[in-house]
Amino acid sequence: MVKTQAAMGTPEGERGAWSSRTGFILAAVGSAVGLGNIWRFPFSAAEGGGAAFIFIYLVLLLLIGLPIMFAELAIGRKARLNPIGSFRKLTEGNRLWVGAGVLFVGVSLFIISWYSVIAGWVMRYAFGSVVGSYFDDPAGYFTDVQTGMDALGYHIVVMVLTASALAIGVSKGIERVATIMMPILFTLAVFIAVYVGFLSGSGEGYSFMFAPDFSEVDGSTVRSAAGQALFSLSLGQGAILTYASYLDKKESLTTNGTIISIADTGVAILGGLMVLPALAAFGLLTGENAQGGAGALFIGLANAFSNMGIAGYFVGTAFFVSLFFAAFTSAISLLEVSVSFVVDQWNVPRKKAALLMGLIAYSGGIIAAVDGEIMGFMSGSWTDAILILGALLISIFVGYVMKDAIDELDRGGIRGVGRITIAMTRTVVPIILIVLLVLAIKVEIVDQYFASIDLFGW
Amino acid sequence: METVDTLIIVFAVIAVVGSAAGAFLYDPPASPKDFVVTFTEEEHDVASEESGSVSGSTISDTVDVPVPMPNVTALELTVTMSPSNSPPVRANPANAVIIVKDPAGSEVGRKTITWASTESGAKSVDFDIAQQYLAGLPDSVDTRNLTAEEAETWAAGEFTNRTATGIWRVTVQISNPGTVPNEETFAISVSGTATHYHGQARLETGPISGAA
Repeated sequence: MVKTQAAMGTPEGERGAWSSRTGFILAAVGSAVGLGNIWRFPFSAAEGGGAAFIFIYLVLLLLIGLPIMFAELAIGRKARLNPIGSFRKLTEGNRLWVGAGVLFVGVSLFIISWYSVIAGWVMRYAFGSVVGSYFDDPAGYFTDVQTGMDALGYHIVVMVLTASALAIGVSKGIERVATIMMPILFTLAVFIAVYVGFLSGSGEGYSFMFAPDFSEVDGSTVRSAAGQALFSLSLGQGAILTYASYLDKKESLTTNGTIISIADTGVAILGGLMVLPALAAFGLLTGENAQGGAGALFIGLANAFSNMGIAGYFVGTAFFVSLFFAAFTSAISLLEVSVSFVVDQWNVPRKKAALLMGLIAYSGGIIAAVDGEIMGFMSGSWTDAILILGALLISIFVGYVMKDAIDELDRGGIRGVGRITIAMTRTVVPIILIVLLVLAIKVEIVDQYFASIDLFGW
Repeated sequence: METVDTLIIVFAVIAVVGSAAGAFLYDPPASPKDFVVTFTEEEHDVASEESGSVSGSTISDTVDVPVPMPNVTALELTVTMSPSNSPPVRANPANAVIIVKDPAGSEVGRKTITWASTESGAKSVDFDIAQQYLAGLPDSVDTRNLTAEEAETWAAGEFTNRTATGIWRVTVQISNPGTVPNEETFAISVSGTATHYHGQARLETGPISGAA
């Protein structure tokens, strides 16, 4: 017999719920919009043929991103529990599926441990932009920021803020943070995108990202676009599932899921409109900067801000504040996965759960904060394979295991979308994800860490 | 005591002890890694003297070497010059003074190549810019007995004016070029490798673009 939350005696108030549809959407968008929107999407697009990549990305968003988004939302809202509790409840305790829930909680906890350190870098850059701390020596500043006592200190601050938001509650904590930060983020991003558009030489940045070049499209482009469609939406890690568990039964999952996906894609494109023209305007869209990642933002873009004169203080501050908001709202959703597990399954108050999981995540991130190589490993692309596996499990579960999935998907929304979603999660989605998983294991794990071992004869 | 309370205490202890250990045991410059890149070799013509006097004239030109990387701690350059006239006809030996400047405009290397009046053929000089850096360390710091690796690490942190990405400039000044006829063209090529530190002990790879 599976115990429900109420039966276990968890106070109804401990679990919480969204106070409004807007609050949920902003919180979910906050979860989806993260550092990847800014430092991964624009550069992936540029590398993969500009508009050609964006077209492929949108197609894959429809083929796998939206179905998985709908599926995660359906599982969470149906069970109204954390990932482990959801799989346990919906399968009546099937151990394999409970294990899948454990994977989600573990992955999210692992990711937040190092993600918090990077969010700490962003926070320090936001403060540093106010006084131009990195203007003289962006590279040297980044060296100081990324490891050591400074990184540890900001890691503590970010984790305390994250755990505090979760301790306050779903509506008063997570939702309130999102409803304040996300509009500010959008506003600042638009302001920056417009400002850098007027800089001399910024035009190269637009052509870098948008000029279509189908000759650049190959297998790796499709893999990159598919990965972006999954990871950018925070899928395969339990965050969306957990957020959906607080959603009202009357809400349309498919409508809300579509809005979240569109908003996330919009911010990713907006990210490109901020970063690439700024780099191009100062001749910095070359070498490592053109490859994206932390170096492009923390050294390349910092260098661009330092060349803007007085405006650099304002634009730099606006950029890193908006980047911090993106990272912080994502951090909240990542830690919430494990906090909800402790609240649901162990029947403890939310404050105590947030404290415990904050301490665990902080402890896990210490080693990433003091050693750059370990940070590089923890944040490496090998986690892509784990997230694809998570998305595959979601697809199989909703397509073949979950009862009444169509009803849950259609509830409050357009009838028929649920049936299409189920059809896709049974066929197209798992096929694509299996191919992606095999490729990810080969490219991101075997080639990276076991290059000398010829496992597959490839 | 509940299990959760016990876990909180355990992880609080881990957090405190881990932070302290990280703070005290962490040694930033312990094992920096560098990466070596090469830039392509490309010929660059020195402007020829069109109507200079027989002696005492000087022709010069500048070769820009873009090194788009910060924290350059070593730059090994080979500058090769080839006079066009063979056999040469000069009243006096031709002297080429080769000056290397970093992105901040500071001179970091200067060498001379001389061709006798009847001498032809390519000649080259090597620059090891790291030696220039280390020779310039302030006395107050240079009293330490550093290994070469430690010294380079230290230099990476100290020479903040060389952390900027930018153009390294090789200027060539030639006196007493060819006199009969009143012009002589020298082809110059620059090749080499640059070493830099990117971030904290992180290995970066990738070619740099640009050439002489």
